Amino acid sequence: MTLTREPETAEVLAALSVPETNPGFSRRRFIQASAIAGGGVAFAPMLSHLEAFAAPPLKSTDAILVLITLGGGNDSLNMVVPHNDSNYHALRPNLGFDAGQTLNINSAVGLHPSLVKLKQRYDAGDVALIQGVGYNPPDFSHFTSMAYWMQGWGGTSQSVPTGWIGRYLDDLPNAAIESLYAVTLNTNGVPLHLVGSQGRGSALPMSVGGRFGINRSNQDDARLYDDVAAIARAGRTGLGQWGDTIARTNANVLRLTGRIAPAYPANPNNNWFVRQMELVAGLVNRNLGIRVFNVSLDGFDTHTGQLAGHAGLMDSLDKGIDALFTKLNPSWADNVMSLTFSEFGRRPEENDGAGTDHGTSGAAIAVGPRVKGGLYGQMPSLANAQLVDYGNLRSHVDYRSVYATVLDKWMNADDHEILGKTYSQVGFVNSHP
Amino acid sequence: MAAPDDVAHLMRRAGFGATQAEVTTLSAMTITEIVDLLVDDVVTPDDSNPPAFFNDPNVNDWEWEYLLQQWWLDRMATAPKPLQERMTLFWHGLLCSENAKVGNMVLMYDQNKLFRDTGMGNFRTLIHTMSLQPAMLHYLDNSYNYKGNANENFARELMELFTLGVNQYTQGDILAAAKAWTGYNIHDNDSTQYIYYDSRHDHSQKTFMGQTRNWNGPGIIDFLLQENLAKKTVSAKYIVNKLWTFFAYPNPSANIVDELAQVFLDNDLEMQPLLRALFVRPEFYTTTAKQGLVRSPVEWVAAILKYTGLTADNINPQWYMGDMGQTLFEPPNVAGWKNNQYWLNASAMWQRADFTGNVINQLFNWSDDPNIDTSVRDSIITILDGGGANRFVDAVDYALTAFGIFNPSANTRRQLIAAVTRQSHTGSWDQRTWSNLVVLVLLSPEFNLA
Repeated sequence: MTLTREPETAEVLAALSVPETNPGFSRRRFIQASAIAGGGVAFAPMLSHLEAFAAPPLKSTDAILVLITLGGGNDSLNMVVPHNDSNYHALRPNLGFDAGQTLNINSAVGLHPSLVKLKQRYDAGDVALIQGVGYNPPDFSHFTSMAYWMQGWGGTSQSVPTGWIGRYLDDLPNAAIESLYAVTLNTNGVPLHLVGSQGRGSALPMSVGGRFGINRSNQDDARLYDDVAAIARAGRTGLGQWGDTIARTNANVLRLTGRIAPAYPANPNNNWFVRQMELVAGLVNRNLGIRVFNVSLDGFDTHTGQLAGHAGLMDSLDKGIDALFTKLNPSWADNVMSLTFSEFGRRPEENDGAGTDHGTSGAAIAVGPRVKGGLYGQMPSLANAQLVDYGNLRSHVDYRSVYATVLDKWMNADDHEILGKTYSQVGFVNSHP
Repeated sequence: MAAPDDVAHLMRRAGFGATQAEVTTLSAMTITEIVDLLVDDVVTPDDSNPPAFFNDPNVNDWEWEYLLQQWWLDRMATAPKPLQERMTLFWHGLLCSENAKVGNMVLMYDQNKLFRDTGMGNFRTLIHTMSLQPAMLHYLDNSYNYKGNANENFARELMELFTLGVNQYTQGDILAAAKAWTGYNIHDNDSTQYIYYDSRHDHSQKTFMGQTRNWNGPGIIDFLLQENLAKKTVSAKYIVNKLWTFFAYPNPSANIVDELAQVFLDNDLEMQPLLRALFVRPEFYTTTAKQGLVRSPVEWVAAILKYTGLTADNINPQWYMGDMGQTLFEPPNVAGWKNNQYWLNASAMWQRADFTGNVINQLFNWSDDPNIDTSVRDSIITILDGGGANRFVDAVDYALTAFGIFNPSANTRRQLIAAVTRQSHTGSWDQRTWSNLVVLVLLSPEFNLA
């Protein structure tokens, strides 16, 4: 990244008209293009990127990951319930579920009563429940703990300003330009896990009706959109690489709007999480080249009144996951896996407000036709002597082991490079598409 | 006599832009004289007053954040002290705190005021004061840094991000510095107050950068930025690199960094002499510099406010800036915002395009609200409706100039003229021709370059 050692070098690099960090249009390729196209080559880089924008379409062998952020710290003990554990019932006299209430997987474990559809998928072999996932030493801050989960970094340098999906994006072709490799819905800006040193996800809106570039039915709007794009289509701006990139990005925005708008359902679901998942299915079905989706379900910080609140969230989670796999075009369903994560689990012992406080490890749920269904990890012991850090659960599976599995077995990516370390894997992926 | 193009560039970077009248006036002076004006134009304590809503019991906590965002954007746009305001933004992006974690806008305002008050003073003094303000104590967890349970967060970032950069210390140095900072906490009974608890300070001998002493927190800063010339030099270069990247372009050559760092060191880390030296360097006026930075969302919005005369309350940029990628008082993490390509994400630029709709609705003020400045609108309408033979060209040239673009590229100007002409020929001779012209200017490469 030494663009500006001297003006001459900068002029040469600016002539390439795409950021130097972009590996897709190296100086060598530019020179090759020049040699072939002769005198008219000056505009070639821009035009080629207009065509390439928005991530190349996926092939039938590409994997798609849908990350479900459960914000606030999900009470995993009441999601994957040790219904037969007397310690559980002693710790949760008011909040605990007994075996008659849970959707039982075996004599020890059952799912929250609201996870009806998920239980059916579990019985069909499409659901992995990974128990005891966390990190050490635990940090009970929402902020710090979520930062760990999003960074997903185990390298020797203490912290990095990038996220694990972002570093995955960095390794894809044209990482700095292709902003549709990963998208986030329902977030304010692009969350850390989707930010790499070059690649970066895009935040897509939950509705597009009145947004710039979408509705061309008004002649004056349509003309404006065309005029904005025309500045890029006319060729080089004469303002250097960033002037060109600005013009090109504006034109790309207008291409993007045309591509994503049809994916938005005409009658979106009233449940905000289901709405996100239906939109994910719509975007997958149109094959816009999106490899990673981030969706979010918030409200898990259930310090009080947990029973009803958590049940509502579990119901939304159940309906959302079902909506995703129901709405997916069958030809794409095999390429999709969803994975939940939350910054921490909650404390085993209920508090005086019929809620639970910040805790440590929790369960992650992976769903998809190529998931190897079953129970993974280890349910942390609830025996008093086994609790740590003020009555909290031990972690048995490092959260980065879950990521390593996803990266290596599902995304076909270099888990060691992306995570900064090799983590033992959890065998919940049957096969790559 | 300075070249008008150089003056306009200087005012875009050292401030938030200049009108053509301002450029004309300033061009009667030399660059050195203008730089002196900018650099000397500092008041300490700063002349901003705490926003009125701070004392208004009817304003909720959650409203404070966006009201303070609006307040600061307006202040940038009107910029009574342009460089002082710029430096406040610089420090906010380097010595980061996020209200999402701090959770108290009064503390965030205190930090903002510190940057404004002393951001053009002595760097070492700034680091000392910043370190003990509640915003930073909360943000980097020194509030939890106790003897026997050292929290390394602040100690690490103090070196890695605030003063030295990476690879200038060992993990042992971090641990020693963390112990030195134990006890510099938040008051047990008042989360808005800094307090030093001697009983929680680790008084043991600690080895930091090869020196074994009973280190304390401020002593670490004094060692790095005063006592140890090698580290002080590293820090001077680190800050110079950040400043050049902020004001001119990323990755300055070694000779620029070395020479400016020497100025910084010769003046014992005073900011004003450094800024003076930076803005008079010939490299600052090269094409590389003039085309070297993309306007951040904050800079882009401030420029819109400046050139339209609208206020942040008129057009509510705070609801859009998160998706543009930059929310004041909420940097993405402790490393702050990046630049250039970081802003040029399709979804982020889409948000800028969306926001122009808000600008147009207010600027064109079809309801004739007397509180809205309509001069830009009126001039465009007068030119286009005047029927002059060159009205399309004149309207485009006026609009570009009105938004501080004095030297547009031939391509942009040609496309804008074509757009206005095409619209008139297709019968759309109405408000949309006028407002579309302004949208095209706001989304042009020129207006989105810093």
